[in-house]
Amino acid sequence: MAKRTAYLLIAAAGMILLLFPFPGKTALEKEPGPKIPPDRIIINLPPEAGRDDMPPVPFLHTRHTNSVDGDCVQCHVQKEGTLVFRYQRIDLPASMDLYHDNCIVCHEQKKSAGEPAGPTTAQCRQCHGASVPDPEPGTHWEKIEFDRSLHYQHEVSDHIPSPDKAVSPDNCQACHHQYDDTAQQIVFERGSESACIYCHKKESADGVRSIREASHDACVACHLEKKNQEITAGPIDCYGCHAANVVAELPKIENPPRLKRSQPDAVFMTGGTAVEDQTSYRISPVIFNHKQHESAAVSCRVCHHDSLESCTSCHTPDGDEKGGFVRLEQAMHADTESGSCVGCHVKETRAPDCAGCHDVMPRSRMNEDTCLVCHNAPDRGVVKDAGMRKMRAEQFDTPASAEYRTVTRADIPEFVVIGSLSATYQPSRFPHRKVIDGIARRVEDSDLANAFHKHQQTLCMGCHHNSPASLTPPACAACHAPAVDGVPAAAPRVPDLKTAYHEQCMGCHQKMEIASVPSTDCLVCHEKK
Amino acid sequence: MGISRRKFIGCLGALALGQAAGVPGTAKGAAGKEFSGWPDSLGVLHDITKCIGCRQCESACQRVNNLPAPETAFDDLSVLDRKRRTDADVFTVVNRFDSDRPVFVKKQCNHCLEPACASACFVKAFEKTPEGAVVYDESLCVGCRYCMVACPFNIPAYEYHKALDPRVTKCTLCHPRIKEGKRPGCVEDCPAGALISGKRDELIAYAWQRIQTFPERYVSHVYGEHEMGGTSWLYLSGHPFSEVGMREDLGTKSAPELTAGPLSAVPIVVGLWPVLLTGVYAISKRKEKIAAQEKQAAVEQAVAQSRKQAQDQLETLRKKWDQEKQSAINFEVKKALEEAAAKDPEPSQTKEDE
Repeated sequence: MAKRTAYLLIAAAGMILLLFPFPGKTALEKEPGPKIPPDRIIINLPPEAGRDDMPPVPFLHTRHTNSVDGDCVQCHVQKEGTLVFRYQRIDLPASMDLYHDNCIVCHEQKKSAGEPAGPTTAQCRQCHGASVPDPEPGTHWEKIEFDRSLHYQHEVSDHIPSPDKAVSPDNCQACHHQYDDTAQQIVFERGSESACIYCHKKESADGVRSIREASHDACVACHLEKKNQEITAGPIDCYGCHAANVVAELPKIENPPRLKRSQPDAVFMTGGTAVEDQTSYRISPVIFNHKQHESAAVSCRVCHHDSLESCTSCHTPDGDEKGGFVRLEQAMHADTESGSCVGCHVKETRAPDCAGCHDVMPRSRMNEDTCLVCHNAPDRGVVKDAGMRKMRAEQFDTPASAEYRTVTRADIPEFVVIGSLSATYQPSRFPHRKVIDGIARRVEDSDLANAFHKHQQTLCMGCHHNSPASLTPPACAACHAPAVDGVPAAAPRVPDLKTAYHEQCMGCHQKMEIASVPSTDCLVCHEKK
Repeated sequence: MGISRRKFIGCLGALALGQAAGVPGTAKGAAGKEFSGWPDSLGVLHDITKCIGCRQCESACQRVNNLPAPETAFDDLSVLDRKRRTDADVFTVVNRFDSDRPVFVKKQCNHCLEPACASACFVKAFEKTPEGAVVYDESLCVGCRYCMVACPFNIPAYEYHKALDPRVTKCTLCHPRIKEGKRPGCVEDCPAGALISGKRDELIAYAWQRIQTFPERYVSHVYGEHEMGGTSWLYLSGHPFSEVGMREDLGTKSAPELTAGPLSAVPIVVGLWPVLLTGVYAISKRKEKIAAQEKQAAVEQAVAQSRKQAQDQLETLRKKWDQEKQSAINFEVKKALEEAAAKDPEPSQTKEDE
């Protein structure tokens, strides 16, 4: 009998050990995945002295909205046709009792009514440190980027009340404001509109509300107000703005007009002078086409990352604390930062349309010739008058595509038969002109590409590399010798001819994501012998 | 104590010999401290970002090494759906790892500078050749498969299906071909430029140059430069190596270096311990013997003593008994005389009268 109980005990212990192989890994210790549902709000009160700290509560807002059938006042206080976007309070700080006394009570009520409900008393860990299910693919939370189409729709909407509607038809002042420190109040200043996030940062500080609070109170409150007035307005639930797939369904205006902020069309950018009364700038100034870059960048904040002032106000040539000690030269040329000129250009070359050629080009992309593309002012003399500078900029600014010159079509061979190696396969009939057309098509709309390429012959150099630009470039075999009977090529960096062809062609196809020519399908390019 | 002079000197001699044979660091074979490879040895650089998973390298390997044809043809890419390892007639495999895009990695013997297999093999069936290849001699192999246990990359495979003469199989770096100056078969056939062969030192320099030229493309690490003391196969990758099935927990010490310490102690243990233990045994045995002898002597002495004692006691008793006997006799005689005297008064008185 004792043997039998012993066996039973061992079996039970084995089962328990099998079911819990890794004790200690709770849901909260799991690495947060990159995808979270848009309506997840983390309730995490600061720890109180003398009290055990419970893990934060992930609160799913949409789930609760649905459970009260959209009746917001169950949890939110009403205010002037809209709501206070805080839980059951207007100004009181959050506390444990606030949440427990309201959340749990509602859950208990629902439970006794026989409806599905959340955790009730003594089910602490079902809220605290609960795991949130992964969202469906495509419905995860995404950062809201500035959208010119949406902004324009707000600009021209008749339903948005603007404080100075009588003076001007624009709705700018409905949202854009400044804060007057001396008067300690919000003021409206035309012509000083900028991004909300310049002042409303990620966390609330010094009486300035966080971007989340500010935008919910400004945007969602207004949407809700309009909805209560039976006017079609923007989303009022989390998924409506924060889920990428829902945002994609919002009405879109193609090519919205330029933002009205009195931006310059061209800017005369100088590097300053070494001493006060010098007569020429340190380097040829840059005639910067601001208008073109406005449409190229997603939003102003790509370059004006902290304020709309000019870059040199913080990024001085010698470095200043305001600019984080990032010198002007670094701010303009750092090729890893997308906020710098060169960095953004480099990032653009990584797009599939450009990567075929640009990915195989070695790192040091800046050389003596590329400086001139930007530092293109014909005159290096100091211009003291601001009006004169503006005139200079507009005078010398030319759209890049106007300078772009194409190669005569007859000079581009239509087919090139690559047959110097044909042991296993037939010679390959390469549709040379078709490929050039494909590449040209992709880049000719890009002002950035045309500014740097200037001549279509530059495109030839993507494949006909390491040799001067020419309409009759040297043959590949001039440098890439075919491997003879297994003997290796001369140096690692010069592959043999077969490898050179394949690396060049397949590499380009892969990087430009051309699915019609899979690398593993040999017969697409050459038939078998 | 009892040990003869000859035995004592003999013990000393054995001690000295054992000491000399077992000094760590002078052990021959694979315990070199800083072997950075044979000069000019061949290496192969595998650029994982360029591999397209076409399996031409596997096909070339089978052709060049006269291996039997596989069940699924080499252009059947569906085998990449599951991870494979080297097998009895499969010197190299390509595996696919799915990340933001499919990544293909070729796997084969890495031809370490200080191979663990060569170190583990006690019959020296593996040899690190000056050309860089680690080659296997099947005539010496006993089939113990310690090499399979020792390899940190899990490469050597075994012909389990052969009953009488199974062999260990692994990539040979096409040693016969590279001795002729040709490239290994897989390197020759790779169309995508994912395999480059050349001098190992030059390849390492070239690999780092590539990393510097395209820093956003590669993880800043040349796998095999230092892993397990350095391997002849070097790898460049755009994804972390642990995500493409390559172990990153191996450290930079070669396997022979890791085992050299304990192994070098074996001769000294084998030489010294029998001598020591024999000595201890001899001494304790002798002690026992002497103890036994002394005990024996003590016992005898005690026995003799007690015997003597007994004798003495007996003598004393005998004397006493004699004495008692005598006194008893005397007493009886006296008593008889007295009785006789009492019965018969003095005879001298009666005799004269009549």
